[in-house]
Amino acid sequence: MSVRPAMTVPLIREQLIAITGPRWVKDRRSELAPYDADGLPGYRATPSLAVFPGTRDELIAVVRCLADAGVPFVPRGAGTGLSGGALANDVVLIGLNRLSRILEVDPVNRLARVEPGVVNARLSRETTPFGLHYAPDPSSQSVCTIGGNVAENAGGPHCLKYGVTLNHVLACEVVLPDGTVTTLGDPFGETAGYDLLGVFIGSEGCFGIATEITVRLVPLPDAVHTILADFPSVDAAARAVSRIVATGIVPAALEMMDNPTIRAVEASVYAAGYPVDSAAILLCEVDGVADGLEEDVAIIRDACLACDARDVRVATAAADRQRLWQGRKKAFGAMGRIAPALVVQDAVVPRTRLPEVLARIADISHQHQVRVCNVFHAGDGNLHPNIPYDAGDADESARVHAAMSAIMQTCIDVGGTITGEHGVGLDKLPYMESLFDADSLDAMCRIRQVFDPERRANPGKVVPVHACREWHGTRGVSRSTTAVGR
Amino acid sequence: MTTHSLHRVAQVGEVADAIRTAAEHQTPLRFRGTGTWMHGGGPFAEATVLDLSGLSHVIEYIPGDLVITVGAGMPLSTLRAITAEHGQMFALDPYGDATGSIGACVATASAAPLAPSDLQMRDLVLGIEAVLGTGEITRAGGRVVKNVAGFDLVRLHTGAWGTLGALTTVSLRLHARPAIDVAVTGTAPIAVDDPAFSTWLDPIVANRAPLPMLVVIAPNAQPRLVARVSGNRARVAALMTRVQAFGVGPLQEHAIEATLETLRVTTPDVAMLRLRASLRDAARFVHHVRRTLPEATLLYDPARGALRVLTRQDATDALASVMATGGASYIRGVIDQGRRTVPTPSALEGQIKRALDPSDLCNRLMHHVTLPWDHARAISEPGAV
Repeated sequence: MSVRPAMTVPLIREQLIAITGPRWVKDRRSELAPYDADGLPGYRATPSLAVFPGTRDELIAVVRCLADAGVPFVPRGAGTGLSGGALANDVVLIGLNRLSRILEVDPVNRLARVEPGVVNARLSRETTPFGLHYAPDPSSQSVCTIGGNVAENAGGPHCLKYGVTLNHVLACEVVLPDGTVTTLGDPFGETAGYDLLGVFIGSEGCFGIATEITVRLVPLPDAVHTILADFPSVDAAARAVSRIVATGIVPAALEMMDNPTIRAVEASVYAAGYPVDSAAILLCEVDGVADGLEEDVAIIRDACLACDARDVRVATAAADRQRLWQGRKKAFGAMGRIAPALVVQDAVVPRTRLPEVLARIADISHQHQVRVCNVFHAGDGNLHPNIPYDAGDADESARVHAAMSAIMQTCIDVGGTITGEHGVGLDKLPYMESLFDADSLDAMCRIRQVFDPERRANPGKVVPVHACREWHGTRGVSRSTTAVGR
Repeated sequence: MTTHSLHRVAQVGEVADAIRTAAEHQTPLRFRGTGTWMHGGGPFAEATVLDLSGLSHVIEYIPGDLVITVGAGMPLSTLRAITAEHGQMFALDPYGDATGSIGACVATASAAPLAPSDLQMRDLVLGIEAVLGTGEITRAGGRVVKNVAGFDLVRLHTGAWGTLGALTTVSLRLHARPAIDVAVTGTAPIAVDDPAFSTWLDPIVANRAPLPMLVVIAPNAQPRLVARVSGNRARVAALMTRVQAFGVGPLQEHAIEATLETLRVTTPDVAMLRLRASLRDAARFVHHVRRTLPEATLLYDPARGALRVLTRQDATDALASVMATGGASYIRGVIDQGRRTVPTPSALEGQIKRALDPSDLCNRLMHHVTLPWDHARAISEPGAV
């Protein structure tokens, strides 16, 4: 069956209403406006229609309806993605936020079965009474959904010790783009055969939609110590990261914030008591069995002092630790005070290359006259160079775009990658051919073809259409997506 | 498996040439690392053996990054020696022989006893280079510890038993060796067939400590608890106290390397099964398998509910007998080594195979377009109590 043009959509509207009821099918411009963007400024795209199934069966019926009509679709969780992956340009958007039930918590086997629209932080909150939590903790965890986390293979500060989404999902029931329902993985984790679950996680909505997700839960640690180290230079902080990693201690988190970020946070309602004259701070957390943690803290303190730290503070009380973390997790929000728009970028470099890459980013920011605020997962080498700017200023937007391209190329040049947790979406498409050769990209296309032979699920994302040999001549949906100010 | 010739390669280009030549003649290839586990998986069709053991060099090792990139034919023992020089380790010591190749361990997603932090092979492979059944040289993932660029073909090749292509290079996440890393063992006060066995095992499951543990149950012997205790001195002392509280006999301390060698070594004449059941049924499950396979050695992980069975029985028969008689509300079983039959693969798996190896040249199974594990899947549906 061929993919049909958007004009088919009005014809299926009534069928979708029959599935979900009229309240949950939206096609008026004013109703669709909230779905024009995700967390990435610069891109806007309007879906032709948005449908919000309320149950698993409704979701499957919606996907089957779209399959029968040959209509492309984009799944969307909370829309907090930062790569344009949840944008639907004149295709149907399937909103999953109503599928928000925690179906089962099994404290004995330490797992939970949830619908895709369950908010990440809520899952941890509701499993706390069992002494458990869901470990991956993206900065957007107060709103982002487990389904979105699965689609993006989301990370977060505490993934340094606990691993990313891939390491915490045991099984997914999935509806494939053709409407077939299948289960990937095994709830108790004894799997065999191709790791279809592994390739589904992080497939950015291109392989289908998870209808139910079984995740591992992790015991709450007996004790937690949060260390705040203050450095006279970004370089010193970066050297301390390498030194801490080399000690053999695996911190639960190891985060860096530079001076522009610190000042933005301290000027906001999220002020955490960071030293505003610091060139960079490290936020390092160790957790686990209480015995021995103080020894780890002493080793980390020594590592920081050996790298010229001006001061090292340790918080153990929950309120003090939460305050330190609030500043880190709300840093992106705090930057909203600086300018109307904020590009939150995402790239990974080998940890030993952090000092030179951060120096190069500083050079790039001077060269293009943009302000770069760095707040990132230093222990993983996962950079988040952020640029606040005015998206309405064409000249500034062009300079931001040029700076970001230069930063991405720098990360590729040192053996890094273009995204560690945000996904490729639309924003990183241009860099995929710098990272992978034609044969490697084509192999990815062939796997996509297995899950979605009609290429209707989140079309035009992740792998450039022209890189797929079998797809030459296909109309790329992304090409008509409007890149505002780029 | 029967082989009719052997072709040794030392460069990725030679692997690609060999596969393209095989494609021209439509002759299947059987990939071989160091040849320690050719009896695992399968049954494989008669094929020309492509020996990848020459791909054994370090391509890049930057200790500060805790990442190493090596040829897939490198023996685990070599990898261990190279990383130990820098106080680092590849955190898994998979079941099998220490001279087995890292590529084979990745290809088979080998499990490992007493793995730290529940780590599995899929958690530690950062990137790969693989020559597909088309002869294309492809790369996936990278050399950094977080990476979501593109579809995750690293996970697809990990555990594919070489049926999608030949792994030629792997990039691995390493860990720094902890200050102390030892094994402690103690004998359980009660036998598995004692009706009160659950009074010993259940508290271990309920209060499982954050450390790797195995209950080792050899034929006609009391169960032994083996725990891997690591970290700094204070943490190790605290964990020792926790293990002692599980009611085992006097704890004995052993070098971790020696204990892992004892636990991991298997021989070709032994069938290996992987079984898993809900932890709610832990004691009942272990007791049931003990009763069904009295001559087997059982390694039970009380933190994950995973049971590894080593038996001299026919693997298919052994698994069928466990599955047929229940013992837990849900059991899943897989054969890692031993004779098996091969039913039809799932539609998705068949399509993935055809997408990357359209002529079925790579580790072709004895029955055309079939996969080695489906036997296990077919009879591992939720079992009746």
